[in-house]
Amino acid sequence: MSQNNNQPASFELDGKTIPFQAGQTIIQAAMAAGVYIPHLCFNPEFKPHGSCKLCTVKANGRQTASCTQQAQAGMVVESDTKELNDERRALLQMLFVEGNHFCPSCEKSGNCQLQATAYEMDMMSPHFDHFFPDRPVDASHAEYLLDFNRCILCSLCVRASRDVDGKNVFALSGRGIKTHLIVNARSGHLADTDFSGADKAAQVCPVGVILKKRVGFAVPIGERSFDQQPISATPHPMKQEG
Amino acid sequence: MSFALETAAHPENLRRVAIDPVSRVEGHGKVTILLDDKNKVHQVRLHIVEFRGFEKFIQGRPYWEVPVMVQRLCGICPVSHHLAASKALDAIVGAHHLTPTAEKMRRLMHYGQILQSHALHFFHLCSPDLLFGFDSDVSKRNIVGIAEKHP
Amino acid sequence: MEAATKPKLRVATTSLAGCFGCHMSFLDIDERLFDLVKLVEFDRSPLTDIKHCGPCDIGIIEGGLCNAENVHVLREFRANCKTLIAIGACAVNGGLPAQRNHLSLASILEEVYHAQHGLVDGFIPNDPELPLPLDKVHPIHEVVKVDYFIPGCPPSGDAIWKVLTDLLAGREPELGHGLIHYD
Repeated sequence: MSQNNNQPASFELDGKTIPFQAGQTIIQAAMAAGVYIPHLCFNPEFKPHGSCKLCTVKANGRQTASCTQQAQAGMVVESDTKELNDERRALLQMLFVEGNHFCPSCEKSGNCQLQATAYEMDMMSPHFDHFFPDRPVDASHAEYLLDFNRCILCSLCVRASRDVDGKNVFALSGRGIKTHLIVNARSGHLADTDFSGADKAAQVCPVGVILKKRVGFAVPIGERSFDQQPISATPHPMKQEG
Repeated sequence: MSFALETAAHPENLRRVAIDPVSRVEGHGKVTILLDDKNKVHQVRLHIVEFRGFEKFIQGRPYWEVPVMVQRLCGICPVSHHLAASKALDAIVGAHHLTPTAEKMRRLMHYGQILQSHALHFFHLCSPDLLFGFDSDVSKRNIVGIAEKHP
Repeated sequence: MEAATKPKLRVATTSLAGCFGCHMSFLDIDERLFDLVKLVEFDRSPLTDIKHCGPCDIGIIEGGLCNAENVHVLREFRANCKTLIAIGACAVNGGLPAQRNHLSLASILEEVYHAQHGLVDGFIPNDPELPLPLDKVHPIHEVVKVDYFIPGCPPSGDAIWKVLTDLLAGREPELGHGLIHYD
């Protein structure tokens, strides 16, 4: 960066000056400065995937995913605008109708990033017609359960298992609207993989797909992370487990 | 298939009066009455019109989700359904003896449920009949009329 | 008060394939109900004995669409109410009853009335007085235009109060954190 006099490089985000270090993406710099940009597939611990598009911002007037776009000095970025939030809400609504998200009986309710982000974006209805797909639960593993109904294809478990655990337990299969999460075993069952509760992949699901069995309602609904404070005020949503 | 409750021999010749929906009750219902030319009642039936299929769709779900799910069978007595499902879970996991705390907790929850349901039934739903009479003015025969007349 | 001179707004409420939990939550506004009835009067509602919705300013719908009668009642409300509000998860997105949607209706009826342990002479009810079940459970916005949504299972009394008071004051209803819930 051709920045003189030791001033750190910075860009402007919704009128606020955000300092950044060379190589940081817009969302990384914003998070470090305590500014929330809505996101689902981004997790600071992993290489960005850029697929959910919730973190889309306008950088110098052009839409771009803030989890993949590197910050540049003097850049003017808009994020918390009606136009972008309307688009984010529509993306959330599409995620809700594509899967089966029955919040009232979901044990992740209140700790779920999809739900909390929808609260943040004032999503009052699904707007679109529901798909109501048929996705059976995989309860084969002794300690963990997979409820595919709630998968939003963020690929965090895929990245965690591949890049951190070195196991490749999960993968996304199919294309377009047929994309779905699969388990790498001939039977397709989690019990037939080397998945373990100690894996990073067991900790990263932002919604209620990968669930430890028999601990579901330890924290009552109403007292969970995003019941206490909105996701925008929660610095590291992934660390809030309940 | 015919039921013992279908007491009218020739329902096709009778006049039908339907109370639909049955209001100021806890739930959905419909009553049909069959009368002859002399207004003599030949058949009265209460129909349970709601069907949702919880019995089927809870199958294949994690069992610890079920108490929370069946609360939604009824918004007036969710506690009763929650505790019934909890009892089923006891049987599944082999918990044949409740701890004294669990037992007291469940009793307390039941008492709370009974108190709430009775309060709703008496004050909001049936007090207008008892205080105004069954054939009083329909536009006043409700909780708002009661609050005005008997604050 | 200005309210005394203004004609009262008429409000109708109903539960379609709901559980009355949202109506219970509505009654959780407690004594604020008396502030409310200074401004509104009730048309068809489980609280009154009016069986059909007449011309109304606000219609409040709890529950999704599980049977043909639900659809008729919903259409009657839409035709009569200037503003229609979907209240609770079932009306907003089908709610828990929509968990049956990936199953065939026949298999569910069979299970509930016939196959289950203990149903010796069970048979599937087919009385003409009973409304026909729909193949799938639908949220109400898939059938009529809905003006406002209050999500939650049930939404809190405070959330319902906020929306109603916003509407009565002529403001665009807004819930915000703590009042917007899906569970």
